[in-house]
Amino acid sequence: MRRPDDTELLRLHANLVAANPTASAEIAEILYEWLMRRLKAAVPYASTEDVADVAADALVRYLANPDRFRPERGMGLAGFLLMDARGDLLNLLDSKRPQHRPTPLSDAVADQLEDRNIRSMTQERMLERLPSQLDERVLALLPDQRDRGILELMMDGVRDSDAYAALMGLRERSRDIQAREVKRAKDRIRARLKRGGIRRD
Amino acid sequence: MVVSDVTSRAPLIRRASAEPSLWASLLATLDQREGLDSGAISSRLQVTPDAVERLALCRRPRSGSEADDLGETARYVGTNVVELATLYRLGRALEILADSGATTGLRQAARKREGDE
Repeated sequence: MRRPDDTELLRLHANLVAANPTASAEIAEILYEWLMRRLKAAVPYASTEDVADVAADALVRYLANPDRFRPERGMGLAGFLLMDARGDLLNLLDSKRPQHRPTPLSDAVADQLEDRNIRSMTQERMLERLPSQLDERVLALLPDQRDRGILELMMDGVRDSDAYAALMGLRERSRDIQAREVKRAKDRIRARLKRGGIRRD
Repeated sequence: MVVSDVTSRAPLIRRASAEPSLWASLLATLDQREGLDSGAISSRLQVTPDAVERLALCRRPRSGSEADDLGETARYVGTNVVELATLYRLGRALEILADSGATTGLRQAARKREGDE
């Protein structure tokens, strides 16, 4: 299933903000099924019922209060709702699990990622919560979830190597090793995308 | 619940039923208070069940722009604007009565009238 067209969604979002009566239905039509599929792919151990309920909650919350989405922040509506719903889904699953307290990230990493609302998370949780901005072609070239997470940080312009080191599970290693491994991972991803015919400007 | 649970959009419609700005909540009122379920709405508006689901996800008309909004919504759903407006006014009346706690009294009065006849 292709990622919804961000330009079209932006137009519908503007209509929704302007109180157009059908924009909410048009947005739901485009995004609900896509949201469910992406949530299920991102958190495969979640039940279909939980995924459907969480996707519905996120979508209706947005439709009722569209100002929650701020296009000027640079993230598309589909990515915004996916991130919102993914957070809810993980919280829901957490509430059903035996208690588990994640190791908090360093302040530097948390600051980098504050807009993503993913403070206080382990490496695994970060990987699950990263918004998916990647299209199907890129996903096919990067089957590894960690590589996808690294690419998403690169696409968001994150420069602090702490964020990458946290994603890669290198937080306990020395700065030199972190820098070397992060660079190696980024180069490897760039090369793989280039070989696959994908260029980033 | 106004729309069948077998559709994949059922969780979305169910959630939307709790949102007062959307048609889903008005359709839920019509279902609960008048017994107008998805099938009845579909017949009344002469549209498919899918169109009723799309209607449920539309925003209700704004006061001051009711005619325009109802017209646009009717076009989107593919129904007659007069039928849609009638349904909307019935739903609103039921909501207002429910808010004032008058529905039960009216129903009791109606039942009493029927019994007297």
